[in-house]
Amino acid sequence: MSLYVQAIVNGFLVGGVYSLMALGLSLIFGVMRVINFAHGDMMVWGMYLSYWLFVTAGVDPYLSILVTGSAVFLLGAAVQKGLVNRILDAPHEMQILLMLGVALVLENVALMVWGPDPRRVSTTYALSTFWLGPIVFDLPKVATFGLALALALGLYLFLKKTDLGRMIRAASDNQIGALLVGTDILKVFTLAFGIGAACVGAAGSLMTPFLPFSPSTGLFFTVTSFNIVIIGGMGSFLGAFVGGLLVGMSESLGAVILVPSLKEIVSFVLLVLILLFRPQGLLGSGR
Amino acid sequence: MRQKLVRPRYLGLVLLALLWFLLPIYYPSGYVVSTAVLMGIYAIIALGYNIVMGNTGIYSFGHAAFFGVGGYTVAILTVNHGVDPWLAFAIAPFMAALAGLLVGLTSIRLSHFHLAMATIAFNVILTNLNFNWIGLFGSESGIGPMGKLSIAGLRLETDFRYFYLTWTFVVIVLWVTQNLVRSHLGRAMAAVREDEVAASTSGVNVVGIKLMAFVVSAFLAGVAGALLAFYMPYVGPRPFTVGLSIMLFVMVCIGGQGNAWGSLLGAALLTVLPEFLRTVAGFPAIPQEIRMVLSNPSYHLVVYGLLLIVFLTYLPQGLVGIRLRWWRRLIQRQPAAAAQPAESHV
Repeated sequence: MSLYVQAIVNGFLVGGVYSLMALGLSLIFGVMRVINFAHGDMMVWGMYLSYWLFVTAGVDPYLSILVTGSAVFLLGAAVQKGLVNRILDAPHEMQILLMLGVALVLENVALMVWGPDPRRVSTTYALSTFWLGPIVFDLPKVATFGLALALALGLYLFLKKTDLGRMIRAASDNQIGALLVGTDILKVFTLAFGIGAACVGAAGSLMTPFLPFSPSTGLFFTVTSFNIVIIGGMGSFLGAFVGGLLVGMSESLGAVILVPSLKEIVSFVLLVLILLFRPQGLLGSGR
Repeated sequence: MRQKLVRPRYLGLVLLALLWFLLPIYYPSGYVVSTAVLMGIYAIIALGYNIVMGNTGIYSFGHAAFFGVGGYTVAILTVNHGVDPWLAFAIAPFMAALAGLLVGLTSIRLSHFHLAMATIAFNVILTNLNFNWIGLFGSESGIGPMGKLSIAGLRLETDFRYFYLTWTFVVIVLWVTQNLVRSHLGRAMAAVREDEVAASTSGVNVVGIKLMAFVVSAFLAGVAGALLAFYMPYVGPRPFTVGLSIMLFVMVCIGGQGNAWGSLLGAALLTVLPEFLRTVAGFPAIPQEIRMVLSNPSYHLVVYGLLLIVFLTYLPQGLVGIRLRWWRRLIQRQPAAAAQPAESHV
């Protein structure tokens, strides 16, 4: 029994950072209607940047989120400004294709630069744990959860309270309406893509203390982010958050109930069930 | 549409026939022919995928799963149950079509992004089972050793012989899909792609047509899977992952959606490009350091990606679109209409 509780706790903690990653995807899709197929690869770049800072300068991954977040922000903004903005009027599949191209370039440049072997950021506290009753908590996972939660909250406040956030939400609700009241829509797009990318870049850094990664990890995280966004409900902030926690928990439960290598199956079966019975997602508004 | 535009189709057929006869004679074995076999197999799935993606406008990202169902059906039946190879070959497409029907029934009513996700989910689930269900799928190393097909006592064991089998299928599939598109069903598909509401008000059963397109293309993916299974020594999970599903999307888009010749071209291009880049890397005139970079398979994919990006920002109609544009300019002496979705009248 305690094995299952343990698995749920671990999954919940990892789920927090999944939520942050999915929030980025949700924001990008919500504003531009562009499916960011390079989402996971942007995250991998964040992870390698974190790794590189750790190995060369000894910067702790929890500190380097500032650098990785901004770097991946610039990457995302550049993709939007330089590429996606050029084909806004093109059919939807062309935008998907463009993002697939970006994903291919990012993944394979990473492979050429760093090679296919998994890397790990081995901090001094990587293996430290503490007990709370019968449950073990991994310190890095708890720290990651806390920071992910804080960043998600920050994003929420930014979107709700600031002028820029309002502009982004306006563009997401009604593009033409936003244009009519004088929003510089291209600027908002660039900003929104940048922020979405920054979320996933920071999420990448936050995961490095407990998750080995390689360039091919990207596709898995791209697909997992899609999964989370749909389970939670497209366009719902809270939905993406709850979806992330659910997917995290179902993965770690799956690893315990089935075999570890089958852990993905549980979350994808969950996705299929959601699509069958509640296609708008758990907290989606059903549009 | 102008009737003249139909003619190059026959030119294409003649060129294909020439290639079909000459290529294996010039290169009876090895590299070139084996690339051509794989190209043919990918062409078949791409042609099938084009029905769903190009003609009907459904974004499936799980077609590699149907490819896999075809391949594994053949492997399981022949290796584990001793079924006659040709019988297994005949069963495989129907199993794939059945899988297509099941996936279609659960997800066909979903909107674009949701359907894409649902199909990715099915693909991921199948790949996971392939890797982990050792009793049925033999895990990572796969099922084998595979037997070979034979026609009238002639074992199709060399690339040379298999080339002819594969490309016979390509021509048949090309012919079938071309005719399908021109049929009543094909027009209904085009109507669904252009506007679902309008299609249903003019009496088209939208869900039925989408399901039909899905099943037909899954069937063709099953044919390709069976062909691949008899070509490989072992049938393992690697060829049937989401990566291939995504590549199919790229093939069809690069070629020009809804255009069967375009899909063929897209499949050919994506199979040949890595080989081409590898050849370029072999030129002695190129300095050693650059050759090191060029022979790195990741570099090929980087070039792919860059090509895609350039294509999309400059040639949104795909390769066949360029020709259409030049053709129109030549005939009509008018600038071509820009950035229209590819029309299927070539």
